Amino acid sequence: MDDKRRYVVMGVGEVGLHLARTLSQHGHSVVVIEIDPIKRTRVEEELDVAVVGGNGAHVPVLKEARVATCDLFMAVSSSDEANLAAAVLARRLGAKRTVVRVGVAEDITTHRQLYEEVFGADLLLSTQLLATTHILNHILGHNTVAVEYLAQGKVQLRKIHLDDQSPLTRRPLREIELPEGCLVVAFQRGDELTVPSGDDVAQPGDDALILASTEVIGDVERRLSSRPRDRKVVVIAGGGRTGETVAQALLGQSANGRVERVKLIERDLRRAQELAAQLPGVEVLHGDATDVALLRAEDVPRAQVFVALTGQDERNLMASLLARELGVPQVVALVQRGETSYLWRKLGLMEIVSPRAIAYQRIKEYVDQGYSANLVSLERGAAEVLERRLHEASPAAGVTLAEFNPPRGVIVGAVVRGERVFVPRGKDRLEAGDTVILFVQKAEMPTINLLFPGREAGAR
Amino acid sequence: MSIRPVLRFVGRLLLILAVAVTLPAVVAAIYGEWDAAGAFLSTALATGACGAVLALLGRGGGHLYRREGILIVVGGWALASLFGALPYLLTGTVSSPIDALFESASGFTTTGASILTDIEAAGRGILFWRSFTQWLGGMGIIVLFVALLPELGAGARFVYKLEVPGPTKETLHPRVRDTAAVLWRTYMLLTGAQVALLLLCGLDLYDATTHAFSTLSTGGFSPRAASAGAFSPLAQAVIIVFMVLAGINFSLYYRFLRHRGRRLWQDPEWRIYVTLILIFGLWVAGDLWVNGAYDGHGAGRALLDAVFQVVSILTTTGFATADFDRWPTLARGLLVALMFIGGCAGSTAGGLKIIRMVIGLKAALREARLIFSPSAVIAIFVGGKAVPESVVRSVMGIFILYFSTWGLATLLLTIGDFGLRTSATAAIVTLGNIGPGLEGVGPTQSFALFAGWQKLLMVLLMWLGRLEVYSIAALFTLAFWRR
Repeated sequence: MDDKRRYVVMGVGEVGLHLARTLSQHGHSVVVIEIDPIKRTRVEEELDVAVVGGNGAHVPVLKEARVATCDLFMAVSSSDEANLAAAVLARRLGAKRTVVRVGVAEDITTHRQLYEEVFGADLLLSTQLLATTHILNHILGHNTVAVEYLAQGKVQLRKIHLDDQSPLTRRPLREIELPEGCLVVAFQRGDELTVPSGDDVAQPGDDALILASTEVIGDVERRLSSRPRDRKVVVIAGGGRTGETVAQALLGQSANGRVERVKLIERDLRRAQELAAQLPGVEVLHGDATDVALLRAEDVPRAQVFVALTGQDERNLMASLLARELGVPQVVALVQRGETSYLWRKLGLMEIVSPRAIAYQRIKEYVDQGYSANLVSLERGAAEVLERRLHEASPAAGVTLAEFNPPRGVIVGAVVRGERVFVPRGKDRLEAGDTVILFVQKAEMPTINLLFPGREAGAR
Repeated sequence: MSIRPVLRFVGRLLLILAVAVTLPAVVAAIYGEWDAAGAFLSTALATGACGAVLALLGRGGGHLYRREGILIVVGGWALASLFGALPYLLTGTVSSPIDALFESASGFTTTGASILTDIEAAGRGILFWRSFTQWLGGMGIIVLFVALLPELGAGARFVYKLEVPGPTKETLHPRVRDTAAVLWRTYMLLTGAQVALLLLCGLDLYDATTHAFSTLSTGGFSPRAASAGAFSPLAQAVIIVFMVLAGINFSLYYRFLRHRGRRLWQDPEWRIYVTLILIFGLWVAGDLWVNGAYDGHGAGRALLDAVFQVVSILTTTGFATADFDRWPTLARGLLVALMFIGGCAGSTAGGLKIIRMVIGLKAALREARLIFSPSAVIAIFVGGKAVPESVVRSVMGIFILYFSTWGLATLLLTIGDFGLRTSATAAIVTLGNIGPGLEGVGPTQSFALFAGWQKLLMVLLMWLGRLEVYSIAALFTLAFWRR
């Protein structure tokens, strides 16, 4: 962020405030759009930014914020609809790029491409989804740094941090057993990206980029986890959106059978009934997670993990302290007000997740990487992951991978055919209508556009 | 509550009924029963005239709310039964108006219980009418009404739901009128198919049509004294198949056509239904075999009769190919147990319905679990889908009303000393819209033995069963009539 740029931030909740503050401290010019007068006053007092009052989904407000000349428009207010509408309008009015925050995880895992196409969003992110990934890391001992969802969520690209206990390190790749339908695309050391061959060895501290079908990703994570064997009882306090997504994920494929039981404590009876109906397999309890009698009655002391995910920090703090007191070995808590995290650590609650700080981090990464939303786009886009649909006319259609013989720097990572996902071998034939996930280094982009004609945007 | 729309729609319903009555008139004329044809035409005229008067009285405004909807449905069924009784009186088939009403209500509610002692003595016209009322009542006169009349508007959804059996009422189309039309078309298609197959089995057109009418509606009236027992084993097998088909949720057929059968096996109710038929069929056949009840008739005959009776009772049809009242105790007990279950929701079958049994049992077990884990919130899943709590509550309510009604009715039907088995089964077979019971009301007997007031009580039971208790029970609550 060396040169001076213009940014517009819509919505100054914690994410927006963080972004506005950092960007303006770096000397960029920032305009903030905020509908709430109290928050506006606070921003005006604290930050050196221009403030526009009103709803960002209205053109006059956007014009007043001069989005036409901004480098990046960030719609991070708490309303999904307003964010999406504002992003489209801002783009039409001339904003160069847009970042949109949405609430529902499925919008991103399954329908991201549609959203990006329709609303012209360059980066779509969900705080809830990001938080869920981090919480699952804590619970399952995964080391996922970031996840990218491809082919309507059927394929995932994960950046996994390799610590010194990881089985991927210190042994050549060919000796490592990984499930079918999974491919190590690259190792990343600092800014350096290597496409590994079977002889390559990763070092602790590296990140691995792994492409896998969503079905096997849980298995991959388990094999790469530092604690692969234990089966846990997890108690979740708070059945909000995050609580629901986490509970669902714990019983789903990403946990790969490593969670024995999930108990979910929700205070609101109606919501509890809703959750019980939506989450078969999860034991839903109606009550207050800060009620010691309830925690004891429901056997919480014998759980291995306690996750405090209510919407209120005070409740999460209280519940976490109680759970620790009752002897739960691992306590993970959601902290909305990220600035208080040092207080939590002082109390010995080390595993805290602050969704807004994570979202902020993601956007900052995006800005720092020169507006490249892709996980693997390093050094300002040295390589990319593309999602292309194979047309009849494509020269790659109807030939086996061996015949096709992709140039160096191009990996055909996965093929999605109907509901089936597989990593192609040399004898596998590519068919028209397949969706292929390609990992491509920059230099090979023209070749790829020739071989796989498709929308320029691809999956990006 | 505004009475006008109620009069208007009930009036129109009678007009439709008047048109329907002309069909048996034609049948009677074909068989040269000119008196009967005249009786049907007079009924058509009287029904049409009353309908027109009611429709005129109810002309103009008035919106349909829930109370009006309930009155239309209950009033519609009551008036259809009343006017449907006229042909029995006018042809002289029965002399007592109460008997005529019983026979008519038994027809429209697809019960199949009869007060006629010598069935074949009645004319072909009147016996056709008996089966035809069952066919009309099977898919539902209100559903027919909704399909035919567009002006019911938003009220259609509510009255439709009052009549279609089962706790969960899915509509296949956004417009309830289209759904009703699809259901009637499926119903007609199945009826046509059965008529064709029965013709192939050697039945004449009259027998094929009347039996198809009583099979698809799970009614059970037969113009033959020996019921379906008058036909060949092959024809009986065809009837078994169509009774089974009639007891399945009709929306499944629609889904079957749309999804090429893939989703059919996912429906838990239909799986339990088929399993029940297989288990009970074999069990009853085994008991008949062990007790030597079919010595000299062969195992095949025993199996066919067992399955026929099991299917007939479970689907609440009520055809009989054997006098099961003379069967061993266990076999009879098994049949009585089936009387309390009934077919699938959304079918033409009566009874409590299998899905209610499933939901009710799960809800009861849930209460047991809540004793030791009071803060647990547990949803009830059927076929992977959560059942809304309001539905669970309504199912529990129906259980209580259904069984207490049965108990009270049994008590009242014992007056006159007919034997407890007669009284108890008479109560359940009318409440469950089944047909024959045991002993005094067994398959070879008739309901003629009861006193007049008891027959009226059973008419009420039949209506209660067909409209699934609540809409009639609502009329007995004080709040319904309060302004």
